Amino acid sequence: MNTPIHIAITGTHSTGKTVLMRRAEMELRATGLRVARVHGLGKRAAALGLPKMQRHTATSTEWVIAAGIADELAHTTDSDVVLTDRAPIDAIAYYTAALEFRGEPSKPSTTERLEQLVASQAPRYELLLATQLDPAEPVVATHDYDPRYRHLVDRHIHDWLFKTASTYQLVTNTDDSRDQAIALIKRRVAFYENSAPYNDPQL
Amino acid sequence: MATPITARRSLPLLTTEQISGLKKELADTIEYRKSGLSLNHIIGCPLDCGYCVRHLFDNFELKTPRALMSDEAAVDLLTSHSYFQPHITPIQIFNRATDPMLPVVKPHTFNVLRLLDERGLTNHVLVITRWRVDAEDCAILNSFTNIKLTVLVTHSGISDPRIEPVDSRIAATSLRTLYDNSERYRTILYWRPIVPGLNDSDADIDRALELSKHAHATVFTGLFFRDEIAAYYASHDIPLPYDETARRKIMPEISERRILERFHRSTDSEAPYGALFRKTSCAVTYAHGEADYNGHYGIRELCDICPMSQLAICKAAWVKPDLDTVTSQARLLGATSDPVITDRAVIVEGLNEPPRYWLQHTHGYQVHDAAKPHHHRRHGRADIGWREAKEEQ
Ligand code: SF4
Repeated sequence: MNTPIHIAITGTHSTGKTVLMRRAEMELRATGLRVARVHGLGKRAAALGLPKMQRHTATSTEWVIAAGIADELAHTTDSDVVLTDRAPIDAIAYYTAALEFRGEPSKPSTTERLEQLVASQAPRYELLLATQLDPAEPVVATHDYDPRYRHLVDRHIHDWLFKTASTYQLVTNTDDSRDQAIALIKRRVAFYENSAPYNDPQL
Repeated sequence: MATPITARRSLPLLTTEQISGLKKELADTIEYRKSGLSLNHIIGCPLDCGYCVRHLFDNFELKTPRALMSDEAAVDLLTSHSYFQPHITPIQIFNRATDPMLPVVKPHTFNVLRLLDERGLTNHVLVITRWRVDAEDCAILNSFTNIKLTVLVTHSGISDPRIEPVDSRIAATSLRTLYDNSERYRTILYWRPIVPGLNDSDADIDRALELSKHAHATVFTGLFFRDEIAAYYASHDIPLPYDETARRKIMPEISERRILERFHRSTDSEAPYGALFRKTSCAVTYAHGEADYNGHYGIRELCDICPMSQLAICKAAWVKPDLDTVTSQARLLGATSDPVITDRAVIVEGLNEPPRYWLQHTHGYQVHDAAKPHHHRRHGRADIGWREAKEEQ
C-alpha cells in the first residue's frame, strides 16, 4: 500500500487557508490523484460542547490535536494526498494565545505535554504552509470574532514556527504568493509520486 | 515546470458494479441536449462550482475523474446512436460531469476529437472548459481537419470562493491563449452564470467586455438553478440568490438590459453589440460563419443584437420545413398529434427533448412542445426575474 503524502497549512483565522487548500485539492484531483482534505474540527468541537477560540482550554486543545491526528490517519488507505487545513500547531497557538488573551498564566506541565504532542506530529508533513495576517485586509466578522485574539494567534503561530526552527513556506496575502504556494504543492506531490513505489489499488 | 504528476497514472475504468450504483442519467453516456448530442463517458470533477449541473446527478461528491468505457467504445456508441447524423448533429464532449481540459481528462478529449476527425465527420464539436489551455493544447486543437471545433471558456467573474472556488484568472488566461493561437478552431467566452447581485456590477460587465475582445464570440446566460443546487447553497451557508428555483435558466431582465447597454457600440451599425449572443449555438455558428443550427432566427427577438452579416446568413438559411416531411418524421418519433408549423417554430405534441432536438437540428428550425408555450422575450428562460416587470405592466 502507498502511504499518502501529507501537506498542512497553519495560520490564524480569515487568512485564506481554506480557499488555498480547496484550490490545491482541485489542482491535485485534476491530475487524477485521490485527495482528502481534513478540516472542520472547530465545528465538531463546538458540537461536542467544547470551548473554542479565545475560550480554549487544555482539554479542548488536546481534543482538537487528537481528532486531527485521527482524521489524517483515517485517510491512509483511501488517499494519495492528505491536505490538512489546520496543522496541529494551530491548536497549541490558539490555546496559548487564548491564555494570553484572558491574562491567565500557563501551567508549564500542561503546556509542555501539549507541545510534545504537537511536535511529535511534525515529521508527518512533507510540506508545511503558513499564512500571515495582513492587517490591511478587511475581515467578515462573525459573532465570535475578536481582532485582538486573531492577531495574538498569528503571533503565537509564527513564534512557534521560529522557536521550533520549522521549515515552512510563508503565504502572504497576494495572488503571487498563493500561486507560488500552489505550484510548490504540485511540485512536491509530483516529486513524491514519481519517487514512491506506486501501487494502484484499482489495478 | 513541475514534473507531470500524471506520468504513471491512467484513468481507472469504473467497474460494472460501480456504474450500476450511479444515477441513471449519469451512467448514460449519451444525452441529447439543445446544443447537441453530448458524450460523457468520463465523470467526476474536482472543480467545486456551487452552481454546477452535477448537483442534478447526486454526483457532487464524485470528485476524481473516472471512465465508464474506452474512448473508442464511446465514439462508436455516439456515431451509432439513433439520433446521430453525420455532418449535421452538433456534438459536445464532457460537458456535464467533468471538465475536458483537466490534465487527467485532456488526453481523452484529444483522443475523442481525433477519432471523430479521422472518420471524416464535419459536425460541430463543442468543448466547454474553465481549466487551463496552453499553446501546446492549441496546436493539437488546430490539427483537426474535418470537425468544426469550438472551445468555449466558462468565466463567471464570481468572486465569492464559496460559490466559485476556481480562480477566474485560469479561465481568462486560457481564453487569451486560445484566441491568440486559433487557426482552425474557434473560441468563445461563455459568460455564465450571471447572477444578479453577485457578478453583474458595472465592474463585472466591464471585465467581461474586455475579455470578449479575446474571443471570436461571447455568450451570456443566467444561472441554472434547481432545487438540488439550492440545497447545496443552503448546506454551505451560501445566501440564495433567488427565493425559488426554476426549470430554465434565469436571466432577469434588468441585468440583461445593463449588459446590453454596456456592450452597445453606437458607431458600429454593422455589429452594434459586437459578437455578443444570447444563445450558445448562435455564438458557435457565428464564429464559423454559418447559420444557427437551432433555428433561433425564428424567434426574431433573440436576433436584435446580432451582427448584420450573421442575420443575413441566418435569414438565407432559414427555410420553413416541408409539413409532410416533418409530419411523417414526428409520427415515427412518437408524436401524439400531427405537428403544426408556424413562422417561428414547429409545434409538436408528445415528444420529449431528444426527439425534439433531433427535429430541430435536422431542419435548423425551432421545435417547441405544445405543452410548454414559449413566452415572448423570455425564450427558454425562467419566469423568475421577470415577474416584477410583468406585475408593473
Ligand atoms: S441571426 Fe438570430 S438566430 Fe442567427 S445567429 Fe443571430 S441571433 Fe442567432
